[in-house]
Amino acid sequence: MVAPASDATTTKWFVRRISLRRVPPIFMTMSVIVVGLIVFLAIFGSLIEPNDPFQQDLLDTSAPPSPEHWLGTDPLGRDILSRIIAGADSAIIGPFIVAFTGLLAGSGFGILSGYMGGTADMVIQRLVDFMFALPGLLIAIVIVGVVGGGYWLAVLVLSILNVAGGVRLIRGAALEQRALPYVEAARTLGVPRWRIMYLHIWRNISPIVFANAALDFALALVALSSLSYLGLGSQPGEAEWGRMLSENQSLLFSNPAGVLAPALAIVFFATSVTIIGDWIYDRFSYGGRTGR
Amino acid sequence: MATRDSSLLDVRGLELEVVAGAMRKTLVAGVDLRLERGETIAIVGESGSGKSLSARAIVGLLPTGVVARAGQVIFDGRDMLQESPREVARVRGSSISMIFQDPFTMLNPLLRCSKHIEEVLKIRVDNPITNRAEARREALARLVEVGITDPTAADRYPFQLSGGMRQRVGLAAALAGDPAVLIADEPSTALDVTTQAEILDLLKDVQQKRGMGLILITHDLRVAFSVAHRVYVLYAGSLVEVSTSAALEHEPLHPYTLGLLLSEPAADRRLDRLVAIDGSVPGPDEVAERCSFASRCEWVTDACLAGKPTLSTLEGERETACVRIGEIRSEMSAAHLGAKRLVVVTPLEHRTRDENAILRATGVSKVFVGRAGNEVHALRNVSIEVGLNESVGLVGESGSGKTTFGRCVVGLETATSGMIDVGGIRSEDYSTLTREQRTAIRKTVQIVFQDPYSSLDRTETVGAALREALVVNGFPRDGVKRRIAELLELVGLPAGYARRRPAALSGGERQRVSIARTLVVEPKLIVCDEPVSALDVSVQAQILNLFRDLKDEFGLSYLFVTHDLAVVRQVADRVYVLYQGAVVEEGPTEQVLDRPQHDYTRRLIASIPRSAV
Repeated sequence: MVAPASDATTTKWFVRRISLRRVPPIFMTMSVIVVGLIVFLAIFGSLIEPNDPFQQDLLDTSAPPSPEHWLGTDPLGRDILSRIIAGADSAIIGPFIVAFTGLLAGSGFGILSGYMGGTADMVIQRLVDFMFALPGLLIAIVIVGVVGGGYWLAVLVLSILNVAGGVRLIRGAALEQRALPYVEAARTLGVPRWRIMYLHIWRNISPIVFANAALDFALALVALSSLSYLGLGSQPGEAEWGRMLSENQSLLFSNPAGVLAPALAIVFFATSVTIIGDWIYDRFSYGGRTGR
Repeated sequence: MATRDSSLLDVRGLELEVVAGAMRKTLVAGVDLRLERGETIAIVGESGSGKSLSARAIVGLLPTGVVARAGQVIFDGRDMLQESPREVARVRGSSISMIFQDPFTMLNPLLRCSKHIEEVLKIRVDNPITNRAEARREALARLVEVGITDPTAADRYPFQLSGGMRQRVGLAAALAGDPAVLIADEPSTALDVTTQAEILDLLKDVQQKRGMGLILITHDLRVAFSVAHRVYVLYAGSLVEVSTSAALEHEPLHPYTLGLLLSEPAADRRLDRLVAIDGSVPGPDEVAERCSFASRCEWVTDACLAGKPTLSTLEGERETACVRIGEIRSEMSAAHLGAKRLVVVTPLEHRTRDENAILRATGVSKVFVGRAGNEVHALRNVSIEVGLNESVGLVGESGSGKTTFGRCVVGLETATSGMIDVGGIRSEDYSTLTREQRTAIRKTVQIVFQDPYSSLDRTETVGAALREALVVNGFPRDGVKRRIAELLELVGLPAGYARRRPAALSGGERQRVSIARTLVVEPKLIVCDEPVSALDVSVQAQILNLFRDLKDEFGLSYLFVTHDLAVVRQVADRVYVLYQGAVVEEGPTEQVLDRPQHDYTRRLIASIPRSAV
């Protein structure tokens, strides 16, 4: 592929960039496979679970891996592989809601704050300061603990606490765009403010927005798992990776696979999402120098 | 060649490419350079010609991903491309050193000026000075050499110095190792006009006194002629012509060099029409098997496309890559002389007080308040008028307030005091205007920005940008498509460009799109904020011609904000000279440029580069 300038009309703007990507392609491929697999399991998991993830078998507890139970069984005799598969959906839905809320609210308030400046900026930034001053996970533990726990409550609390970081990041990006001639040209042409903010500026900073959302997703996955591990997230009996980690602790010596599997599932999923986020940023952004 | 062995620096067949994964792209396709002792050579080329990279390859400072594919860089009997990075680093700074374009990033902001020089004195290979007091004394002497005689300047930090002073400090640091070769990469481009001339004179002076070899990299033939003994003209990664400065200025022997010379706006006379080279610079890979200039050359024949021509010696020291030079030499010569004789000065009716002025600004001042509460007076009581169908130049250096004034006119800034009347709507404060008044102002005045790369939204196509501008200004939706094609045609672009994104356009094409976008509202006045200063010379002329055509076609008025007197000469009927926020001189262009009254105007005019001969 040498000098594609002549057929530039047909090439998308983001493909033409000579990319010296920081994420090696092999990591990217592996990450896509991991995420793809987990999404697949979340959707079709119930069809391919080898056993019923909730079926207890008190005669076959804490068993090591065997042909019937590939990852062995937990202290209540439930099939660990099936429970991992069944936990895939809660590993996606909760973090997705947290990340998506952060994306919407972060873009909305961040661009408003950065572009408008003045009073709006002042008010939003003081709120952000206030939220930053709160010890995030601790607050989540207190609220969820007091109200009585539950997966959805944990998701709600994390969603709210997560917004502040996005707002600050996107405000900075919007401030940078605001001074660029293309924005000023739009202003002198009479393009409405909301259109400049949520069309032009948003589109130009979207790599940052999406990369940040991917990071939020990974952090929310870990945070939700932590809450569940502490018994504050998902309820007893639910198949959730963080909860499995705490329930299966006692298996560390009898069936190590039973503890390691949910732990590795969390680590690999979070890492993969982060790598994809990095890749999105590298691939779609032009860095500081706009389009050159 | 007999002189080859004794050359100070000899670059042979240098080829550079960028490698990213499986993709390879040639950047420089075979460059030969020779630098004799005590000689200055200039490498001249437009952006993308590979001039900076070739120089960087000499000192082993290629950016990541760029590698030398072939060639030799012989210095001191050794091939620098084969030496270890450690060895190259030893040579760099002591035997060959380099100064860069940007005096603002070249120095470490945390080090006082003399420290930059003392550092080099301490670590240089020959005769390092380890004694602190001695190093300090030597550093002060070195600063005097570059014209900084004030000893207190040595203890200032870079941010406390002007651009020109910084460039001098950078030069002193580069000279501290007493190099045999100095490479200067666009040393004057980022500086103000008056400072530019000083730095070029200084370089010439230092080179002569030290008898060192100097390689000057520039895009500006005028600069090359004024400093260098010999000139290498680089186009799309390969050399097209090598010659002594004097001979080249007298008679270029390659169509590209001729085009460059002709398309440069003349500073001393106004031409009816500038000679522009159509099209833009191709990539080296696109022209690997043919003459690199063939696609833009008016004398092109099959012979030019048959293979890559190499430099052939013509007479004495002259070399050209044009295969048809024997046949077309007389024609080229005629074109060159013809243009020289073309001293057509379009006579101008002098209207100073136009009853129908489209822009009338009276007593405009603008004060910026910094974070520390310090006040910067960007504009002081500026009064400027632009008549209907008149083109007015606003000339000044950076910091003169010229851009601020342009921004006040279109409402991007609000003046602290004073009155701006645009098309009959008077305003003291843009933000207090009614919506209708703002709309009226918008439909009267538009702006074209300097940087073609950031003045378009890179995520949307050209068509989408124009459509948005049309729709928000109430253009009926069903006619939009046809209107976009019309607008593109007006600025000389095919209608198919509507589907392109900015990344697929060259700098000149982007600037054309920006101009088309301003034409959407059919304005009466366009504020042009340095619209051609970021463009290559061959493209500058195209855009300046376009401005003239549009003026004639639509009766447009321009407020041309620029630092370039040659550009002003070509486009402006009347000129205002701005100095430290105040108008120091105004009048018809010829009068101001030919018979300047104010000291500052005289200095500006004296600083235009002229050839040494």
